Amino acid sequence: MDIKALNLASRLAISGLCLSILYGILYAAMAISLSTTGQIAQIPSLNTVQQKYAGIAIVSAMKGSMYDHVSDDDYIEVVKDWVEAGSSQALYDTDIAPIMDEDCTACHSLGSTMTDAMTSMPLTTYDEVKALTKKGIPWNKLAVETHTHLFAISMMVFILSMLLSMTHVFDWIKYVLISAAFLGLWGDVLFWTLAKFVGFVGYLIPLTGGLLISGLGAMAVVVLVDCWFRVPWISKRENS
Amino acid sequence: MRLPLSFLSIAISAVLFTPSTFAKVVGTLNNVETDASILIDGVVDTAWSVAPILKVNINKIPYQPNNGYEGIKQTTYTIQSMRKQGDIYFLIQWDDPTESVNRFPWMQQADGSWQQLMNKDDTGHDNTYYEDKMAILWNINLKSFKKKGCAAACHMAKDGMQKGIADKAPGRKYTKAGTTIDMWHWKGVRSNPVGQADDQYIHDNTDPKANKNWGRSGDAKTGGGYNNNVKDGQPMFVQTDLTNESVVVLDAKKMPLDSSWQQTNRIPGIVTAPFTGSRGDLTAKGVWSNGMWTLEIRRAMVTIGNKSSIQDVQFTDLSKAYDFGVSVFDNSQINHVYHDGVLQMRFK
Repeated sequence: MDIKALNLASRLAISGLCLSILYGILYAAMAISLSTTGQIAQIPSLNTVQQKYAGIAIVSAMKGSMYDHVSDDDYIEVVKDWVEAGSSQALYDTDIAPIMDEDCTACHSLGSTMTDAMTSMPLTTYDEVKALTKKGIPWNKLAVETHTHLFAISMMVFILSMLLSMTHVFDWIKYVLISAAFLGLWGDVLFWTLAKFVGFVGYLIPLTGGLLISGLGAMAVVVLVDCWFRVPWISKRENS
Repeated sequence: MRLPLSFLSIAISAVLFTPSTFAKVVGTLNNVETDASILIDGVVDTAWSVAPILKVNINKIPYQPNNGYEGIKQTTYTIQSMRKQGDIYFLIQWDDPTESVNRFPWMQQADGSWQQLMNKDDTGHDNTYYEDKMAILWNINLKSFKKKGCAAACHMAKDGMQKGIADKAPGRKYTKAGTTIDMWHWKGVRSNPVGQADDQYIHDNTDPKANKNWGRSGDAKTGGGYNNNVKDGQPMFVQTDLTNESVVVLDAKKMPLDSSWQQTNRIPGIVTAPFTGSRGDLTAKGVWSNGMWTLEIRRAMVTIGNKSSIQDVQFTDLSKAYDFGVSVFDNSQINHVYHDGVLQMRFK
């Protein structure tokens, strides 16, 4: 089957899908930036990404998306030391509560009415703060994110893969892009879980994420172009 | 053949491996030198045309009054700065659809008595009968200000408690021990009619018994200032040229209210005179027109006074950046529109 052989309406629909996916990738990048740096378009460092998936949740937040609200870098070390020492109530009262009070609870409290209030994640008591001392993404959030990624993105990858198979690009490129997208997807969600137990795995998440996004983006571009033109450099010749 | 993939790989690698920028400087104001004449009158002189404009989108508020808040929650704020012969000048403009200069006025009732209008929320603060204000905070020596800006001094109460003390105010301003912030607080009613901004500062006090405003105080003064125009439940002073539109009673013109007063049925809630001493360091004039305040401020680059080193930012080193933050109060006693992060001023 040949995409170019489809009628105009079909090719318009396919083009719309590809453009939507490419647009969505931009906002996926924004979501990654916001969740790691707290900024709409700030580039996260490798360490920041690793911390998000493998680090102590509250420490990761202080190093990442909440960093701009942390008065002093020493505070991050104090909190980290407290968690690694067992997160005792006594040390919380003397060392941690003042830090939370200075930098966090203005927004992270049930009664906050500030513009950026985070009433759903209060940090005003020992129990509330201790709940964020686990490593990696909390299980409840991980379960939701993993299954929704697998269900939603695999369908998107599958549709793009089928469309890619109908293009004129070299077969080996089709195999590479389809494999990259699926491997990236599986690697990503698998490493989210593994990073909770093996910290180093957190460093691999940007690679799998990159693989997924690269695969998706490249497939969308190739399919989009092939709908209307001959994709330069990577297409088979007319008689091949 | 592999060009598109290579491009994507490079772009994605750049996104994932480039280190973050940790500074949170959200804007830089470049101060320039001038010889031109600048009048502090709230009117934009031609001299300002050479001063670079810093535009700041301020869009955060600290609390929601329980009896409603009709003020702005976002505004565009521009600031320019020049220096001339030992003085520093600022031109500031911000959008505000309404001019609010009706702070706790007295209104005469049908039976001839006087009632002071106010509509305070459950924290004891007014957002109805108040005044427009603008504040600039200049860091003096608070380390966290360099990163968090004004938020470094802002401490919101939790469950009605501030530092373990019952306090119904939604938040307080104070600093870490031994540090201060200079606060330039222009007030549409209390300071503007006498051509000043209120020169205040933020310090480390957290004992309301020592200072009811916690860490916020006026600079040292030798005279002048504003007072509530009240005595025995009615206005205390009027002045001969008072009208129903008068913003304040000027101290220099004040005279006691007597029962025969019929010139107006509204009397301002404030009597004011220019501050003298360090608190009067800031010459300022704001004019509201067509939905925008235009405010000019002048101050000596280096102030004198026995506490000026802890109460005033001193523009002594023209090679360094000066950290500051801005906020706007729209007819509100304490609710204000502010921005995250810090602004910097550099001398060119």
